[in-house]
Amino acid sequence: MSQNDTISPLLSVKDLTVKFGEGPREVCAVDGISFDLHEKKTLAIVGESGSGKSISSLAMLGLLKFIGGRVSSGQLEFQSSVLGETVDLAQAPEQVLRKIRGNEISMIFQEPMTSLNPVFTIGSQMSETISLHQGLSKSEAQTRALEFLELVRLPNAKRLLTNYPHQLSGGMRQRVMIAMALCCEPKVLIADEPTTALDVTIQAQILHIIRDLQAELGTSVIFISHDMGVVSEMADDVLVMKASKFVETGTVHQVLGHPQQDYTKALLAAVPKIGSMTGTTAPKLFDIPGMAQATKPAQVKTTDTAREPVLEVENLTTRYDIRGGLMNRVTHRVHAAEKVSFEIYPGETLALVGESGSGKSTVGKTIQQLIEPASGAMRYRGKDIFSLPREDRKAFQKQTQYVFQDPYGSLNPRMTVGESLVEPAKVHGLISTKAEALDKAAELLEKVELPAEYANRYPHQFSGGQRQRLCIARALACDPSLIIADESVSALDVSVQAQVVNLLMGLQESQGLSYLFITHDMAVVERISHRVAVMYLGQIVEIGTRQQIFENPQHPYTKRLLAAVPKLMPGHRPTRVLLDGEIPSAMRAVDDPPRLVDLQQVSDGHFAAL
Amino acid sequence: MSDMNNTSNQTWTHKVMASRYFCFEFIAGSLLTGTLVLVVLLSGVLFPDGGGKVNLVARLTEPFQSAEFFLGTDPLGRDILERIVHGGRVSLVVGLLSALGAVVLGTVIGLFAGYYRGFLDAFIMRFADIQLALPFILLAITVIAIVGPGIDRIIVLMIVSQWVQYARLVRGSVLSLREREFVQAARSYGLSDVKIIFRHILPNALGPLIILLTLNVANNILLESSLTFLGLGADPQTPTWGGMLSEGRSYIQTAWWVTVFPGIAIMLTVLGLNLLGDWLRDELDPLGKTRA
Repeated sequence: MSQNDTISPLLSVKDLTVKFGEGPREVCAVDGISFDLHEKKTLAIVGESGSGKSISSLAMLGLLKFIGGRVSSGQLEFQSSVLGETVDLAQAPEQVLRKIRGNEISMIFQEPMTSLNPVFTIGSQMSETISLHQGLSKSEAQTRALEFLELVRLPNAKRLLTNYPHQLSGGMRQRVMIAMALCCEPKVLIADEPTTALDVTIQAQILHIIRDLQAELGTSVIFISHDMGVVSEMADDVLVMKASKFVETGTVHQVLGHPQQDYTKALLAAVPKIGSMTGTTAPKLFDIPGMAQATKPAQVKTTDTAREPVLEVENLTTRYDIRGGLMNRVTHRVHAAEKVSFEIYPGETLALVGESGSGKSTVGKTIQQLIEPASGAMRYRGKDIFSLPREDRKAFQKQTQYVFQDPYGSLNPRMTVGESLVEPAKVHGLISTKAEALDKAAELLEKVELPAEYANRYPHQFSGGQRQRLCIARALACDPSLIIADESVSALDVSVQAQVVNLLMGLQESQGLSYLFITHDMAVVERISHRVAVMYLGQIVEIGTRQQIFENPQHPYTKRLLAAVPKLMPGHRPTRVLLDGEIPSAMRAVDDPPRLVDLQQVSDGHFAAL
Repeated sequence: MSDMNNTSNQTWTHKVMASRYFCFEFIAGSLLTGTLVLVVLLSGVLFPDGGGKVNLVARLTEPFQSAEFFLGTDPLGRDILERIVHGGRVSLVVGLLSALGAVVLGTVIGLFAGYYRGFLDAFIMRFADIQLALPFILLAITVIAIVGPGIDRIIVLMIVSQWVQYARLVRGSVLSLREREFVQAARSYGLSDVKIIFRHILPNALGPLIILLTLNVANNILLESSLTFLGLGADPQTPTWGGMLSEGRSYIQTAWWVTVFPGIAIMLTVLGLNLLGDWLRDELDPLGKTRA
């Protein structure tokens, strides 16, 4: 910071206030934010959803008017080299902004799936931007596009130019977005949660590329994120926002290392830090400052393998047929789960981890009988489920309950919360009268620490974290013995995530629940799980206790997964062996079944494919 | 004491203001539709002689001239007001029953086809394609030629030919709704398919259905008139709104009132139903209740 004080900043934001709406409905989305962005530096803006971080970045591009907002006061002074003068982005007319937007300041959005136009080729979308700003001919623009696709380390860049977005994977599309954002060599790159929608190993790849390119091209970066690990890896300076307001700013060492404000401290405390549990065997609650502290650790310290397991899964195989050709025959199969075997013991959390397409959700849905397996057996307290008649299998659905990822999508928007919560209990004949339903709803709401009068509200009146609590409450309606939590905390803000994880652990203790915790987030897994199973391309490649997996990983994929998690060490710039390309697909031709891995015992209860 | 009165007064007005019925759509819609239906139901009392009385002396009387023929007369000297009131019986019955029948049939088929997919879905949808390709008039002429004309047959014919659009509309919504997590959640805790379809999927698919339904009522009133015109519908002596429109067509330049008044009757019916439909759609959507 000290050396920069003498040079005037590239972008200087002073007292920025953004408002939406008119009159009594006026909402202040950003309230008096000030910061400076210096050349070749990375400023991270962190905060939880709704804190106004994305709105601030849209203000810098002059895009607010398209979403109904306006800069009501403050300056956004940008040193434009195209215009050769300092421009106030808040006041500048649209023609001036158009010269700057995409040329001197460009942006990468969160969702790579939707930010490319699906009907144009990658090449034509890229050369459109280039010829617009640089006045190059079509073929020159194509050459330049190719150059930048190679710069973001995309293999086969030449062929990619003629490809359409749907032919690319998420990670590749995000790299195309970065190439597009950089192809006019902007002075400022705004990256709005660029890796949130991506898998960890792909995230590591993208972060690496952004860092490399920043060094090569000398771009300044405004990095918007809610992920403290990513921020600590990328940022020079950090600005913390909460509910549209400024909280604190400083270098990454100051803010993440010695936070001054309570909010920052709380935010950092809620971040699961991978490696923080080394040496402990039992799961541990998050410390949330200002929250009632649960001092007791979870009840089951280590997994008691002498007891009868709640659920045994043996050689479970689930495949999706892909039909094609003239005769509509099965030509390919997605081997979503191949010979998956594990047990879950009473009061235990088994984490099933892997990246998208690894088949972890398929395993969960097969257990919940949402998908028919191709083969394999499943025993609930020793009773074989798949061999039972249909009605008896239905009754088993009472014992396992599923909590989905999206808290917004998993409650029927047209039913009151109370109706939704008691429906499972009604299905299984546990309640019949209206009065019973009311009591049950109140009891369930209380279990997830929500007031009983919320039963009459509709789902849209709740926040994401509250809705996830509601989904958990619904899962508890039939007193199940196993809850399958499919990425249930992944969509939540860190502080809310910590609370929900604590709630899950508390319920485990009081109700003796078992969890199958399906997730991609290794840091949360370390907190919550007793045992961990790692899935890769439909097969379990390593399984063991949490300590065995985290402290002594054996399979190369487990090691890569653990290494890819960004660590909360300010200024630490990890050098990872980067995967070239993508995770291969589990789709295979019918006559080409996958090679089955052979799990070998590493130590007591720890098996890995070697 | 006066304070107490004041507050109770306020809460009373507040209650009315906050009521779901206190909005333009509901009040205007139910007034319009209610009045029309009432008048049509009372047609026998208001005009006991059935609107068929020919009075060639008074042919093409202009409207608003006399109390006897307030809306004028048609080329045969029949009172237009009387014919509108009586004609409403056939028109409303045909329009409402055919649209309701089609919406029920189409929705049920669309719900099940979309939810279960597979062979049944493919079969029904190909059948629907074939039916859409057949011109309605051709179908109507063929069927009526076999079974003979009549109002009831027209209604059945309209239902049979119009369920397709509802089925397609509903099936489209179902295809996306069945993948939503709340539907999967309902399956995960063992709710039966029929309950999932009617409790979770149908309420979320109602919005566009209601809109299509209200538009269809108007279309069917007009369709009935073209069938009558072809001699396939009601007895030509029975007044209907559509029939009056087509009769008045050739006089439009000399006697506008013959066509304009039945046209207004159709328009008011559709307007009333549309307003009620809009209100119902908003009312069924919990998000709509938060409006200020």
